[in-house]
Amino acid sequence: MQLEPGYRFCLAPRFTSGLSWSQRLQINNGEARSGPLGTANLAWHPASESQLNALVTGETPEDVWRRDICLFAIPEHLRAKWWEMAARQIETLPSRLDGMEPFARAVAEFAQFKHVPLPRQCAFEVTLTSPHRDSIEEPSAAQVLRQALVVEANGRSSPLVARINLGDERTALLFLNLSRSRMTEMLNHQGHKAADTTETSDLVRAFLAQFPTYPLVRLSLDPGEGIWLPNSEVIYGVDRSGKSDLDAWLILKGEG
Amino acid sequence: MHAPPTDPDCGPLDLLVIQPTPFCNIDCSYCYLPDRQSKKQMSRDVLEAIFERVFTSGLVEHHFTIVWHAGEPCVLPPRFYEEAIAILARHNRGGVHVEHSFQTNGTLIDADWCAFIKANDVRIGVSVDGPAFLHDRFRRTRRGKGTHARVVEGMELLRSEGIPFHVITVLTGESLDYPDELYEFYLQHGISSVGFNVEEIEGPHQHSSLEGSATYERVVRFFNRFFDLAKGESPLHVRELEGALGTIFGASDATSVRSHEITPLAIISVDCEGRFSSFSPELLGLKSEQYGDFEFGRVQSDRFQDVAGTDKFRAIRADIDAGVEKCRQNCPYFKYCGGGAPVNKYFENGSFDSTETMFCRLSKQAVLDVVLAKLENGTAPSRLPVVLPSPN
Repeated sequence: MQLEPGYRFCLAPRFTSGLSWSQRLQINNGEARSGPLGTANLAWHPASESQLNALVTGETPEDVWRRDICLFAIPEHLRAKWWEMAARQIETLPSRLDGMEPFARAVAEFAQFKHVPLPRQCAFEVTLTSPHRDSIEEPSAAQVLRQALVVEANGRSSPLVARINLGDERTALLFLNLSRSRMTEMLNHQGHKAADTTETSDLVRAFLAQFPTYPLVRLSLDPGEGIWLPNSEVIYGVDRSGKSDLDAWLILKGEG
Repeated sequence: MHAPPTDPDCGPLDLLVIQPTPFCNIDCSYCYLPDRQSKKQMSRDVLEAIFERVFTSGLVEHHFTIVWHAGEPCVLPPRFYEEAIAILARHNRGGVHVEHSFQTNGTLIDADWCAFIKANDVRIGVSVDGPAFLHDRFRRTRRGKGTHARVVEGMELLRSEGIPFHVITVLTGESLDYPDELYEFYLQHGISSVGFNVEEIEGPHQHSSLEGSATYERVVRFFNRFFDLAKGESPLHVRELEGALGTIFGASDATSVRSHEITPLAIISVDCEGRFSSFSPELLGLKSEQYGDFEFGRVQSDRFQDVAGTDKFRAIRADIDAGVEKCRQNCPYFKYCGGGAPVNKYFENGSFDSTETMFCRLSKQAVLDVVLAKLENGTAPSRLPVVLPSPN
């Protein structure tokens, strides 16, 4: 099945990337293979040129933050600052972390310099997940088909605007590039009743059941790199397959 | 034999810029040197004449610096400089301390160079524009390939040999968006001292990516951000920051900052064939409709101290002085600057007898505005520059 027009990726203005998009983006067309720890693990292949053309835009006007999924990064000195802070308080992690406020302020100052459109009030959270254990981040995500894809954008909590790989290892996010309305439209076209659901996770589950070969997109993120979401309806999940190190994310949420 | 200069306002000599060769092994797109493809080389006779003229000029009152530059100095072998230093020593009968400084693109640094640098206590400046995505946009080979990897290799060799060095980074319109990336690059490569040169309009380089009315604001934002980083947990020496602090604390209404570039024969530049100039070092080799060129003589036949009396020197000096006077009358930054850089006035405004330039705004005023604002309240300047008190 071909990628339908939907959300696209771009390099945020005033940021640079060490990886090309062809190195960064992979596609799964529904193929699965047996993965580690007995869980299903998806097979990925590089995005073709036409898929890259559909998924990536080189145009980065100032309003791109509200249009596309923007790739950006925090500098290494900020990422290192968090780990230095965490290392000093390893005993109390993850329940408590002193020093988060100056760290968040430093990230915000950097983001403001780069003209990143931070919400007026922005909450900074860090989630840590052992590579061989369940996630210890907030239990809001719902498992859906193809197991690795977790719907983060459920709309129940503060809208998530960005997440940044704080870990020391390359990690990945999985995306369904379609908007909620486009998925509904495609399901309606097939006469599927689940198209009426109000729950995003139900909609995604129904969509992937109806279109099992619809391409999923895997985005690799090096340490410090992150994504900025144009709205709260982007369907994506964290892919922890193949990780050997702590999965650490800095999550930015709009507060009001 | 020391002959007094014909004009007591000349000198003393602070900086001697010697061009051992105009050739550069790379071809930076913003370079102002017109003859960088020429492989001419300074002869022993010219070296002899330079040092004979310098030490008999009456211009040497204290230690001075020789910068080997204006072409890539490392395209000539270390033995060239060993010979030059030996010639200098023969003429330096008074034992004046002379510091040697190389400004290099870093691509040719090898073990022989490291040995020479250590043996002769040479000060090294490496020209590097930060991470590859910034550096390789402008600093390329003649075949268009980026030079970043080779520069980093050279810097790593210097580090591994324990040779301290500073870097000079050209700020372009592109790099103003990347202070954190620059800072990170310096930290990663053990660089502790950096100077920023704005991309200037000089000679054949007639346009700068920094032209435009919005640039001042961007430069202020850049320095504001960079200075916060540089004063943070991993401090960096930033020439502009420290220079601005020095002039702010040193300047008073009674004493203006002395600009070497407006003091006759405080800077002498000599090209590989012995032609020499003064004031801004970049002037040597550039052409002018008004003056023809900026050459004042040849070391083989002319004494430095005599050229101040020539018509050409007096005409240029008068125009420079008139421009400085305009700065004094009109510019609230004068006491922190001293009158600007003549080469920028000439090539931006078309005349030495002029005042503010893009160079002034971006490398002097913007920096001072940032530093003053930080001193006053620890915050960035607002959209409007800080208003400095007018000079008396």
